[in-house]
Amino acid sequence: MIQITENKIDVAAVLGHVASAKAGGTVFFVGTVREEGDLKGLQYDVYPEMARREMEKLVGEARRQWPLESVAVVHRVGWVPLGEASVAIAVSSAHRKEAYAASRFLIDRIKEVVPIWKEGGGHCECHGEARP
Amino acid sequence: MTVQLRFFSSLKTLLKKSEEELRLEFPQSARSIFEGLFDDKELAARLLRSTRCAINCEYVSEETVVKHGDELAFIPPVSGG
Repeated sequence: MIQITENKIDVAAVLGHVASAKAGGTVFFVGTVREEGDLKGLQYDVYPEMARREMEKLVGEARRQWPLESVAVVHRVGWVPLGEASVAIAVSSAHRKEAYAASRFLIDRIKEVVPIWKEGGGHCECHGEARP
Repeated sequence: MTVQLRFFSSLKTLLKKSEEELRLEFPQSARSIFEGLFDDKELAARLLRSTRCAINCEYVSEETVVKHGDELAFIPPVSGG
């Protein structure tokens, strides 16, 4: 499942999507808009057609690199309020090592190549980058 | 020939538009089209250093020459996640 949505991410549904009897390990990453001063949320801009294609390519790369059972990637765009998920990535695999590696690869590469932008200032998600 | 231009994030703000249909008399590279958008050539050169170009949703080199009907997007540094 690959999705770009303006709606609130149903994180349980993303996790549920990768459930498999063949999977011995599932890694679930959720990036959320976190508190920073009086930040109330973040506005995300997107190039929807290209963002979807880039996400599909990344999932394809991950599948070629590691033996994965199932992958789900959902990115929210538009206005994302404080505390809510901006991105959710679920990866299931026979063994945890591959699931961890693929999950890490996906979030790192999404942040490098997928045409989605945080607008304005503020911090978000696990890496804590600031935009001027 | 015509080319559809698309702008996002900081470039959309700077240029005050998200798209533009551009008519070209002769084939041009993505870079020369980008430079043509700005009166301030130093600003264009500075922005180009952090801007990637995409034709029909694929990243391309800034030297790629556009064809009739192409969609050319200028991609400022992405910051999803």
